[in-house]
Amino acid sequence: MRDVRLIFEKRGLLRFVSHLDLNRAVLRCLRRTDIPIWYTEGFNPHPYVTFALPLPLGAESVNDVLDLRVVGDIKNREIVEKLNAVLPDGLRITGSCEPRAKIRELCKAEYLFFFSEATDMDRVRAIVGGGELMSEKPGKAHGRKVMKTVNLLEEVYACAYDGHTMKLTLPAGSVKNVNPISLAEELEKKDGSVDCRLVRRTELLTETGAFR
Amino acid sequence: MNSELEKQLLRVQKPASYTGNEQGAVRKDKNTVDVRFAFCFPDKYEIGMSHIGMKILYGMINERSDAWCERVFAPAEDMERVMREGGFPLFGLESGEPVRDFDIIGFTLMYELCYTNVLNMLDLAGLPVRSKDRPSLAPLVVAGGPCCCNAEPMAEFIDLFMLGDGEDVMNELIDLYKKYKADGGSKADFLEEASHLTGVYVPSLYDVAYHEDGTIKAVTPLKTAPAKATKANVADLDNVYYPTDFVVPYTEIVFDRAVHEIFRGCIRGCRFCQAGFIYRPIREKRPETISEQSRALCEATGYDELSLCSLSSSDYTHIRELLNMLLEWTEPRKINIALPSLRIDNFDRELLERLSAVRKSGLTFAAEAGTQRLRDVINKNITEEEILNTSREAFAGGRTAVKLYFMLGLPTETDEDVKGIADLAQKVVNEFYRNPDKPKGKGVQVSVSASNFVPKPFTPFQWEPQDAKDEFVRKQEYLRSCVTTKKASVSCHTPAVSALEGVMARGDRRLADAIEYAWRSGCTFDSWEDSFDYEKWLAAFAAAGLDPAFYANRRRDYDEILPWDHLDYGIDKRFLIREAEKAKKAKTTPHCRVRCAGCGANKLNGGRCDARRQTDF
Repeated sequence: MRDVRLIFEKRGLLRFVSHLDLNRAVLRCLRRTDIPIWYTEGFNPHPYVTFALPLPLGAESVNDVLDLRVVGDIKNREIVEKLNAVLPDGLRITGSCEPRAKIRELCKAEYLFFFSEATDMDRVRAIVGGGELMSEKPGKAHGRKVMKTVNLLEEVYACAYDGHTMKLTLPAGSVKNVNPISLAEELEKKDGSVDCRLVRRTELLTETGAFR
Repeated sequence: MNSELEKQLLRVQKPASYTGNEQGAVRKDKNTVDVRFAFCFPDKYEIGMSHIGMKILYGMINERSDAWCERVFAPAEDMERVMREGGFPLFGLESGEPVRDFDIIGFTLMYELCYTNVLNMLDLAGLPVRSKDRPSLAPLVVAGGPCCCNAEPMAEFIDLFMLGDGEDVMNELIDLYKKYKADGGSKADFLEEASHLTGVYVPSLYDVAYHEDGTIKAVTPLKTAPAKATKANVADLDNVYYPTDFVVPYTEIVFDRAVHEIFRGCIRGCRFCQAGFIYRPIREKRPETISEQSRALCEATGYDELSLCSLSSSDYTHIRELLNMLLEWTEPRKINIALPSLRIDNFDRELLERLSAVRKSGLTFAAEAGTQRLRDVINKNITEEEILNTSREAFAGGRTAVKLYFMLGLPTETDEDVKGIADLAQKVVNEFYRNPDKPKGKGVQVSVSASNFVPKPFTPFQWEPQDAKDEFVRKQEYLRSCVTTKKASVSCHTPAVSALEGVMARGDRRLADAIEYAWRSGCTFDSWEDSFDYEKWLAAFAAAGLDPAFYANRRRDYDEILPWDHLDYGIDKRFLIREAEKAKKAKTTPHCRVRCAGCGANKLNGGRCDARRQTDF
């Protein structure tokens, strides 16, 4: 029994598939292969698959990470080949490795925002440079459900532009997480010209580098 | 898919139900096919994707190299708003292209309350809702499914109905269409020739005349249409198409699993049950075929649950043989077998243990009526003793929940019968506490579900009046007042919904005006309680000059011409009258394996009916 870390991408129409639905789809795809998966030993046995960080509905990802527990002496290369043979369009395993970083070490993620030609990029730069973009999201206070207002740009670790593309590194993980889709939506609300066509998560990061 | 629409998808719930890129979805080059078929299910994705008929026909049409079948579901309210605001027409999920450019648009009519959704989908496609306003051959609008056995309320909207089993007639219809399309034939000529196919009913080729009291005077076939349209019958289930792959959805749907139909028809003859009559005669599939095909299906889909589907699973002659055959490969693969509608009383316990090794399903009894007298009236052969015995064993085995299904408003029902429902629930509760092995520290939960009886065509109760809405309300209140234990909960169906279903089930083609009016005033998703609007429907009936009580609450004479009399489902009317008379005397009819009751359906199958084969019972 060992864990294998798979690097995958989720692109195109697959971005409308939610995290939970993706989880189920991957489990089904595993069942269509003969990869010797380890099953949990409870009342309701199921394979052990963990995604490093859920992707918000609507975003694409590359260099995304999932861990899988297998038994027997199957090679990583075989796992990748067998799984890629059955995965749907838009979902593809691009690499594999031994898990090194622990999931709780994941704290940042890098995103690309693709804006339409009509978008006034100077306005985007001005808003993002201003360091404040408020968004309401459901949260809890004293055990009750309330709407919380958060600043999506409170912490921006890196920011760069290339034409109508913006690259941002934002907090991600279990401690603090910024939803990039909300960020795109709030930008669109702030300025009528802003039209974000696509958000892609390009890397999961720890304090020291890429999450692997 | 249109990129503008893609962007809008983030505004709606469950966007993955509109992207059509699921595993198993079939994509073809439209330039290589002659016939494009839009299979429309007039309800939401999560309902339609659970429908086995669609899976069969989708796979079958797509096996043809000359045709491409795509799926279309009714967009939910939020998606409909996005589509109407943005001017996006109804599209096929596989290609993302407008349905109005397809050759054939096929609706499946699973229940009467989906009719306004059919109109809404035609409208979203940019098509006129009435058949007469669509003069060209394409797109041809067809419909199939159980409601077609009284297709009359939808007769003005649908060009052609497919009665009975869809497999064979669908291919014949596509072949014929292809010929007319190539020759540039007219819609009228096509419909006339199609009406000669077994299983095809073209409503515009029948003229209906009425008496002054509103009943039907005569139904006259026009041109060369046959006097009666006969349902299609697939003779041999072992050699008919069954899919080896399903479209596997990303989002959760109602029944998300592999499913295999083990036989068609039902031997029981419960007098209220339309399915029990219109799917006759009994045709069984061989266990080897089922095991082989469902194994391929599980391998292709990756499903971890296989459901064996039929009207009454334990009436399948080779059920033990089949389960042993299936368990051989499902157990090592950790695939769970679901056996809905199983009678536990005559089942061997060891097999049952192996079935539930993976997951335990709930215990449900469809008792249907509260007293033995009324169960005899409806020919539901389950006794109180059977229910209590099985409950006792289930409690001893550690279960603590039992579901009981009933109907209110059955013919000859009195308040005593309604009280009988509460009494039976109480007896099940008592059975739990009488049990010395009952689970410690746990209570029992008996869930009573009472639906409202709707008399349906091709049943012995097709002449019966339905209870009025207020009578259902009164009976529901009375039932609730009879339940004194907190261990039993009662849930009931909305009477107004059942009242509308009652009108549609036995309606005639004059209802078209009311359906269109209701839809134009905003009625869609009538089977969803949060969108059902009875007041609008009442206004629609008034506007159309129709009295819903005429259709739902009136007792018909045996010699009245019924709106579905020119459709032949193989069921002999004299048999239905015999059964209706026996019901009045609370006399039961043994099931088909004990003695053939002479329903007549075997004539559709060359005289053969598998209920009369050698059995191992």
